[in-house]
Amino acid sequence: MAQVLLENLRKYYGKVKAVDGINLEIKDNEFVVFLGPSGCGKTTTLRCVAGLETVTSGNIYFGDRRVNDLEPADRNIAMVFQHYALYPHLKVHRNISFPLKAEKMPPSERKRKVKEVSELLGIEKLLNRRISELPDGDKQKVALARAIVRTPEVLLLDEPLSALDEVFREQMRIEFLKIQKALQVTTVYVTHDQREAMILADKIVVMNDGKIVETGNPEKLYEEPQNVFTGYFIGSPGMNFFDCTNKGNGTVVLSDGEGISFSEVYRQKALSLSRADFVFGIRPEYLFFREKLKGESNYFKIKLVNVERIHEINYGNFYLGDNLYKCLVSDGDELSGREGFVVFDDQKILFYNPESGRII
Amino acid sequence: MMTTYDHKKYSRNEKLIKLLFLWPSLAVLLFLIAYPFVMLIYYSFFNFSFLRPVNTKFIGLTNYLLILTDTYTWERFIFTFKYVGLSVSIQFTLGILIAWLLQRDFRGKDAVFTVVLMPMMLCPIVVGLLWRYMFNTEWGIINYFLHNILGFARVEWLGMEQNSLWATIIANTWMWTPFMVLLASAAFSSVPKYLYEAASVDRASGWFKFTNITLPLSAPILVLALIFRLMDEMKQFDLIYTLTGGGPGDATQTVSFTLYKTAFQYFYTGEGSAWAFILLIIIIGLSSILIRLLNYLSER
Repeated sequence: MAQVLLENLRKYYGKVKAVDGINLEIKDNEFVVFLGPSGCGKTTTLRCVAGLETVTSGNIYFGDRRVNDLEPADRNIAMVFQHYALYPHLKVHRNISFPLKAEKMPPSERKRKVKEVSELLGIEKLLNRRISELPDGDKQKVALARAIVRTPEVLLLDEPLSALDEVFREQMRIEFLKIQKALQVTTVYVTHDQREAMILADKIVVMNDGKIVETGNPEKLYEEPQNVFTGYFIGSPGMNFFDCTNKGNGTVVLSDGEGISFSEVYRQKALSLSRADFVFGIRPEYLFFREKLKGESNYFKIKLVNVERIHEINYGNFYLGDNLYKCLVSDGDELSGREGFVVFDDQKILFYNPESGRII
Repeated sequence: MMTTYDHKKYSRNEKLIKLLFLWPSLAVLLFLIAYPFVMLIYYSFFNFSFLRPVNTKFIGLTNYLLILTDTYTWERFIFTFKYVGLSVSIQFTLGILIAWLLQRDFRGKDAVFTVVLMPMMLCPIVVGLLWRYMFNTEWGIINYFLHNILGFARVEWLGMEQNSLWATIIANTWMWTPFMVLLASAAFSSVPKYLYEAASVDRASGWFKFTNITLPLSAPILVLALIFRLMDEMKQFDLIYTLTGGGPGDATQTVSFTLYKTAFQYFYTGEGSAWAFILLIIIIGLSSILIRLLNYLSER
């Protein structure tokens, strides 16, 4: 049983609330990714689970076992650190066998285990190398090998790819998925890279300011973020959020005073909101620039500032007030500076409460 | 206007200025080290005594032969090696142990650390005298404890050959263990904290962490400390001079003590120079072995 339960977990450093009341259930064999900007408490949460930090209050359970007061050594976990934390004076094979030696496994069995795990990760040729001779990607593979050589109950990974080059990252992401599926181990993975989270996670836990903002599977968080922060943080570029005011006379205006036209269903919905101000959220992928309308009913007027290419897609930038937004444009640069309309897909509209940031 | 640095124009001047700054200290060094060293080797081939600088003759290797063929010399060397070997190994072990204990956090740690380092700050002459009084057979505090409180027979600390060896080692260890503590603490705290975190996740016990991470990673600094102590102990004279005066008989007379007596009590300057040169070669030999070990360890 390697189900992990966090119950009202808090970790304060003096007045700083690094982790501020987290409740989370991680299922057996689940691959959970903590995602958030730096300083959001994701690493601290992980270190509390590992036992490297004592908790201020709250409980941590592994299965039915409350592990709050257990040393890291007694929690049956394994961890991969951001900067590898390999033992610099030991060769690769002795780094991998370190946890086995620590629990006094006989040498022949140690050797067999090291061989097994190094074949799994494709590092059997590196076993007699020094740590200092290895490129960063291989270092992290060795660190991963050391972590999984002793079949832990819970595997913890603290930004394991952030010190690597893009090429290695790609490789290692695949490696992580392969290993996790092969080992069937409950995994908690911390990152600030939303792409990594989207690719790896069964469940993403979005964090900010020591709190969980939202939890869900990657597709759901992308398509229907329940919170403005999630929409903004997940996706590259992030979601557009427009401040809207319901004028009460059947019209809705944007922050620059320009009117926004919704198709009838959504106009009714917008007008029926009990509050006069709301936020209208939509991903740039569902927002298209047109110089002339072709009978669309969802649109508003803008002026394109410029066009940029991100991941082979042309995005047009435009301002409303001081805020920069993005939409799709069909052609390249020649549209810069043009006036026109953005039209949007009916199905993709989400309304949010401007104060709480929650979906309405 | 922009001022640019003209390399060609200034480089000659700069070299000159560098030389000007360098030569005073260079001259002092030459005068204080190179000149005496050359003279030392020179005198070791003469039957020279600076009290009676007459009839000085070149006698070749006679001084060296005299020293190396004398059984008395070997006794002095054997004592010195015993004294140095035992002192340094005890200092080394104790130093590492105390440094390890001081690794953990506790209240008043800084104060304890300062107290531990205190003996090293005293002058060896004073330490020798202090221990001489403490080792006194009749009224020394050590025999007071052993005899009056614990009920053992009085120990003739400084009057018997075997006891005096241990008396010198105890005083020496008391004085110089702090040095090992200091360097071992520095070495231990240079081991990155995340390695210990990784090790505790890897289920290593405290002792396992110490032997498999702390010790190997601080080995270079520990060996360096060993080199310092060894070089220093081989030359040691002052502590023994006030503690035992070389006695009983010549029992606690180290090589450098013999050197002192030859050169400054009997004023056989030539023979004294030969002693000094022999001692120098031994120290260089010993430390070069350790330096090799050090290089091996730091290249790992």
